[in-house]
Amino acid sequence: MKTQASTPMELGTKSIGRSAHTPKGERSRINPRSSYLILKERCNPASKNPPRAKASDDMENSNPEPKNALTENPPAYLICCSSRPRTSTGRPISGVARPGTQMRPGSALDRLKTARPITGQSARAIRLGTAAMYSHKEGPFIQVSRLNIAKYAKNQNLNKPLFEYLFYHEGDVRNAMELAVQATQSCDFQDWWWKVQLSKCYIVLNLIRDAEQQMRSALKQQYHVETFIRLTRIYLRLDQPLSAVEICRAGLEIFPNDVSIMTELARLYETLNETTSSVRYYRSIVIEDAMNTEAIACIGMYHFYNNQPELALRYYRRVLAMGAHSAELYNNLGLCCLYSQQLDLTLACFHRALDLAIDPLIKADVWYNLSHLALAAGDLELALQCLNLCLSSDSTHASAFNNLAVLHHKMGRTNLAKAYFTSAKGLEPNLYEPGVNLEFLQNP
Amino acid sequence: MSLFKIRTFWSTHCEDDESFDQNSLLVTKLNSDSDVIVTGSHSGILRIFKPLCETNDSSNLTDYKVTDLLIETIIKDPILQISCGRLVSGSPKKQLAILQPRLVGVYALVTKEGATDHGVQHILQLLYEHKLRRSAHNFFVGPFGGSQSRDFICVQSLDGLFTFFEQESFAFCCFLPDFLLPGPLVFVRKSDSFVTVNSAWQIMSFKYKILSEAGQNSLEEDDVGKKVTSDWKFNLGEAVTDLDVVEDPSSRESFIMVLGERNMFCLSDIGKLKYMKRLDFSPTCFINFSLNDRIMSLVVSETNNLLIYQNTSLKWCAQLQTSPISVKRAFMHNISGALVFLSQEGILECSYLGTEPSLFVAPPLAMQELDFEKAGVELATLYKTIKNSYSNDIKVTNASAERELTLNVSVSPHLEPCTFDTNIKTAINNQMCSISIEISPQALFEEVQITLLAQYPLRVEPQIEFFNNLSEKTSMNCYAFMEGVGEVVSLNVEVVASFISSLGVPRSVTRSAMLPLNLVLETCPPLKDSDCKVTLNINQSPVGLSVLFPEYTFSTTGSAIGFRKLTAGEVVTILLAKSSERYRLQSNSFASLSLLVEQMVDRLKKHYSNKSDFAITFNPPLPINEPLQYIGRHFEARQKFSSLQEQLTQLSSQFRLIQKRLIAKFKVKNPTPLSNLELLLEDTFNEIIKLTTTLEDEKQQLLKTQTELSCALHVLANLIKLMDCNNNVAGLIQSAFNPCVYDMDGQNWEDVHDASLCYLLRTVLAKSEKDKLRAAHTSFEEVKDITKIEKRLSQVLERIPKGALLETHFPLDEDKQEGEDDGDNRESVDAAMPIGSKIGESSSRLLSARKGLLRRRHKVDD
Repeated sequence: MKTQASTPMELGTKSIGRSAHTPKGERSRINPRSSYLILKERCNPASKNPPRAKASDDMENSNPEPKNALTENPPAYLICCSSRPRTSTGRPISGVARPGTQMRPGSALDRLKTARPITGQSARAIRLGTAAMYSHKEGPFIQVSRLNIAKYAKNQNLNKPLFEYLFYHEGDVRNAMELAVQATQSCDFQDWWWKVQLSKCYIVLNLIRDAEQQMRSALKQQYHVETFIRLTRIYLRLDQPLSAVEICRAGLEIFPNDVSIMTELARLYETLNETTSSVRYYRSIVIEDAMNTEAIACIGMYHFYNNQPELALRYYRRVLAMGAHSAELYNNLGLCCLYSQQLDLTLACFHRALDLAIDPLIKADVWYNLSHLALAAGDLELALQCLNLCLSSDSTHASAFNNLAVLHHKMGRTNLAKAYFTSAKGLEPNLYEPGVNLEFLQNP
Repeated sequence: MSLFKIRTFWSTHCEDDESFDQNSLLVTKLNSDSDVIVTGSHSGILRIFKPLCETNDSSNLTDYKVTDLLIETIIKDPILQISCGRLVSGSPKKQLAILQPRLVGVYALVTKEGATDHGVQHILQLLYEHKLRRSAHNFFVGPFGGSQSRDFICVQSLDGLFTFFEQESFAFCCFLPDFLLPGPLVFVRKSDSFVTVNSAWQIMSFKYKILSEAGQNSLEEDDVGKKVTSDWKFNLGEAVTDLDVVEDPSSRESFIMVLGERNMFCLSDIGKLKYMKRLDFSPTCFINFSLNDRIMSLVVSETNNLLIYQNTSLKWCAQLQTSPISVKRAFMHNISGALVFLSQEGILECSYLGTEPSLFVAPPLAMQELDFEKAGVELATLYKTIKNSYSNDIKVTNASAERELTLNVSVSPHLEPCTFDTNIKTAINNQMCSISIEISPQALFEEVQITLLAQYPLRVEPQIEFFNNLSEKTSMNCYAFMEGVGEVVSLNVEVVASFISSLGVPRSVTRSAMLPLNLVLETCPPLKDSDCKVTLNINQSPVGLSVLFPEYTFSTTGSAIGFRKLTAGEVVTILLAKSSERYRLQSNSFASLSLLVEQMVDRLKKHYSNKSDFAITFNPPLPINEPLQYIGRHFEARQKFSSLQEQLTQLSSQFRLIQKRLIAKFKVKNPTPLSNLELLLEDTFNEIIKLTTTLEDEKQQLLKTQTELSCALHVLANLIKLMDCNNNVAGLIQSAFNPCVYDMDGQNWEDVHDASLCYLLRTVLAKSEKDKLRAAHTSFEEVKDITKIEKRLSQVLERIPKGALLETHFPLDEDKQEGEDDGDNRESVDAAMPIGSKIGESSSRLLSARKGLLRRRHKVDD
């Protein structure tokens, strides 16, 4: 056993959260799109000079010169989850993959589909009633191109729903913004709601600074949880996380213990790599809302990476008891079981995870983690098959390529290993291990 | 998702085809000691229930019994809302008020006691009714205006008219300002005001006093009334699902609870925000009450969860079995604080919060029992298959390709008159020779492509052949001929077959063949004196030229022979010096030597193939000046070519601009003078045509210099091969003199060549350690100055004969060694049965068990 890049660390976790909130002004529903964490298992770059433990096999003994730049492979369950996978800049990579906004039903893509071209209605039909509001059975509900925006902007009973229709359903930001501008003028800039909407339009048009200004002005008129969260997001977009934290703190003073703001803050700290602060907020969230699965799962994840898989297991079991039933959760349970030596449950959990994994990316992660299970059991052949299966689901899984290369290198297939390392490097240039391993192979 | 499930102890459901909304449920004491439940459906059916809720023997609460239904009656029109209050003047008793689209009816529930339980009779008695001129939306019954013992009715119509009835009599009516759609309506007793929501998503409060002043002297028939102004407004910013009022008995404060679509708000009775709670779900209905100075809110979500908040903290969450449209609290005989749910279809339930967690049980997996013996056998065969097809190096090496597909290339020595179109003007004696290729596949291949490569001016037709589903021996014929007039670099033709192997891996097989010399050269009288000379030494007694070139007929004794291209060109003379075992090739053009150097080496080697120690050598120095000249010429041509291209780009963009201008001018409604634009257009066009012609010529010139440069490089490469530099870098050096010259857009041959020369100078041909330490030249930069590359080339050519001074390791060699190791390793690994067991051997406890198993199996096998 000369080289080993993969110290199996971690898990692919996903915690199901109550829907991560989408400060989009749309309705958020509870379950369908839960926020989840996928912690990809990565090889651990940390132990470059590993404990040269165990005289492993004959090959090793006959070859006493220290050959590794890559890491030795101590039994996985001994090192357990010692460190969380990180990028080369030190940020945790496996973290919480929360639902992207583009997945939402009203996403830009969908809206493109629903925004139909202007159908040729007969002139007579259009003249009936208010031309723009005339709804044809097959035609669009509202013909935006014929809309007299100036007229409707003044009608405060209609303008708000009309704006939401234009913005969310039609995805016609230009007209929506036109409406917002005129409406906010017609109410003498006294309505905070229009300022928030205007700011939403600015964000879509990438005028972030203008959006910030509108949002701040809206906050002066009325405190609203959503406004705080939107402002936070604006600062994140401007890459000013500290300002975002400040806004969240200000929001918490006005709405003490608000779960949405605390969630935002906890996520923020997580991305800032301040895990302890993040977990502190997640704990406050759980005190305020004991059903918050995102918080429970994140605390579980924190314990997992702090070498407390038993504790993590309890948190994940709580999530399971609440009725979450997903591949990620079973995957995490399986890893927790593995590292807390409850080997009898491990396979059962992964079995279920595989059963539930429909998304190929998640399936790939489950197989990847299974390969670590196989490594822990010492069954390299099974590990190889797992990694191959992982790659068959997701052919861009750089870590899997890397680990596969290490295994092949162990078996003496240097050229194959080199090829795999190269593809791993090509797929994810930031990944540390393939580069080091390649270097090692070239300059032994 | 929740840990707990709600426990239902009493439930009933209505007939089919009835529907209910959130106003259809009323829970009230109605003159008795415990609450009764009243429902009114859109079909006009009114039901009054009084759950008995006694504990039976097994200490469970009794379920619905027929006697729980006090009365069920059909009222003609749909029931919009039910309420109750003291609506009969002079009576302290409470009556039911029922809102229908055009009617408010007040009914009394009369009970006639009987001797037994089932003898009790209930009768619903109509006391009075008010007709409405406008369609009603909802109503509110309460003690408006601070009245102590009487309740009044306020009806909100669909178009925003508030109509007030003081018990049996009409009081007044008034219109709300800026009205579009009616919203929920509540009455706040403390401030004596009505709170409702308008279509601008604002909460509005109207004092009863102001309403009554505005409605003074109004008649029921009025179409317009005085508009009233609101007491306060709160801009909510979202549509409202429900409104509720909570009175805190201890602090005598009232709070208005607002259930929006995304948030829940708590406002004080003067319209100040007390707190808000963002909801992560879509709420459908809620109910609030005050407990120990805190507001308890019970919110039902669309996903059938009941969430109980104390102010903003979640205190309880329970899963519901149905999806209710309305929720109320009821105080019954035995149970206080039961929850009453009404669903849209009319399922009525009384429930309590069960504290016993109902743990989620995942559905069982559909797994069949494994027969371990069978599965083991299957696994073994699968492993075997996988191993054979997948997990070895065969995948990435090309070694087995030759085995899978065999290529035989034969060139016929007989020439035929050329039948293809060529660029040669004097095509009288142009000829071609046929090449036949035999492909014999060992398996079925879906797609095989054969490509033939020959360097300009030679050409092979057809160049590419494609075979589908190839399984049997196939052959193809092609013809090689001269396409243009340039120097011939080499007579070598490469045949490449590329295909996907049976394992799904792309493979290629390459063969090369020599074309006959007389395809391109003819003999002529030798010339005595020439500019360029190349001398080849051999270590055996030389043979006559006529033996070496049997296809030509000339005097057998001659020690000199001249060759000339069929398409005219410089004469190449070969001289044989019998005494000194040397052949000398000489010509006025260095490029013309290329072909014959190749031929001489080839033919000499063939002739002496039976002598093992035969060697051809070339004595340094290598020719330097001639290649440099060719490089210079090529560089110049290339520069000229690119500058012409640039000019053409400029001219054509100018042309487009003028076109645009013209179009704009033509489009204008009022025509304006063209101001000589048409002249400019024509001028530019002519310019472009002229330039294109020059470019064509220059392209030919470039092609010629490319071919000549190729020839020079080919000579150099052949000579370097002959030179006895016995170091292991010959491959590297030769690869730097690749005779293919490509000029791509943005990258000239010089750029690439400069980089490779630099690499040679800093690595294998480095003079000192210092040279090596300089950073390797890795990027391709555009060569601007031809002298630099000339200097480098001469340095390389000077150093080659000396060989590499410094021993270095090269990745290439390394690879080879590793490849060998590879084989050994694989054998050893294969020898050990399952790979996994070997590697994990020492490390794992688990393994010892596995090893034991293996040992046992081995024993059995033995």
